[in-house]
Amino acid sequence: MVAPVPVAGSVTLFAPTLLQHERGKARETAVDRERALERFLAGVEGRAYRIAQISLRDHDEALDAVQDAMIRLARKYAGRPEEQWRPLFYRILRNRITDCARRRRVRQGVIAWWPGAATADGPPDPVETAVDPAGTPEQQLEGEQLLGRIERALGGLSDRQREAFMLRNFEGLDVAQTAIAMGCSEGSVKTHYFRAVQALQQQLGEWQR
Amino acid sequence: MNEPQTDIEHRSRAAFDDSVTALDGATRSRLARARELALAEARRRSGPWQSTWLPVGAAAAAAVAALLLWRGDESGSGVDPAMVALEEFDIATAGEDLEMLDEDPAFYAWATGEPVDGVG
Repeated sequence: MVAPVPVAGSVTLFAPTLLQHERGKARETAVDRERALERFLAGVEGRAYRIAQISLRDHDEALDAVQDAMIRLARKYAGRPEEQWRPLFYRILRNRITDCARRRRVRQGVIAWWPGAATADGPPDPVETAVDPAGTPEQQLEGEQLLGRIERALGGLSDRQREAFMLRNFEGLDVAQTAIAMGCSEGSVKTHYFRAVQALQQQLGEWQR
Repeated sequence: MNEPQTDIEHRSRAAFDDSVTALDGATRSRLARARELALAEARRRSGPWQSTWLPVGAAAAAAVAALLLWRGDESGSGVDPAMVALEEFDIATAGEDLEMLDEDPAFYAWATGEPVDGVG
């Protein structure tokens, strides 16, 4: 508690003790927030990496995108209430993924234009070049096959449908959080998600029982 | 939290969760390193604010409290000077990130409880 310090006349002033008290409290709060931020990042990093990897189909680019998103969240929004971190983080990650995909398209355009750069086989199949999830092959085979089919099916969706599906289904964001992360209305999220599920059901129809 | 409804949703979620659990050590290590960099950035950002602006804000609040209490004695107004001082302290120490308004209008609208406009 702050001790009132009497000063001249009848005035009571919260003097240096106030500074010490508030400084100590702020230091405590900063440590608590850092711990909370660490918990948040540790909890989200693996899932964020997989979402980035599915979107970009590149291990290193996915890691870079996640790292950029983490640093930007910490730099700009660490002071925000904790419940806002997740949609904000995925909003930043989505922007990074979009930037990365755009840069890649430009790069591929330049390479294709450069004389002698084009190959008879055309661009590599992104599904073929996708990085498989790690783990013991025998133990992971079934899961990999399953996820591989899902990833191929996701590749057939529009960007917005894929984003809506991954954020809602994989990451478990609710409609409002997904709208923040995607930068669109809640109605759009519902539409994209519904169409994504429909398309996946059509492509992976044999799952239906 | 979104709960899967259909078989596709259930199986997709389960397969995705398994793939996250099965991430290799090298990837986990890279992610942990990224996390450390982010935390270092957060520390770096919060340091100067604590050491510079908090004492300034607290000093300003103390000065405002003194002024209000002194004037309060003269005028005999019914305003609780302690409450006023606390409000002033909040204003003086609020570190609003105004950049957010430019960058994330949809998020700001959500944060303030307004409906979010936009197209998909």
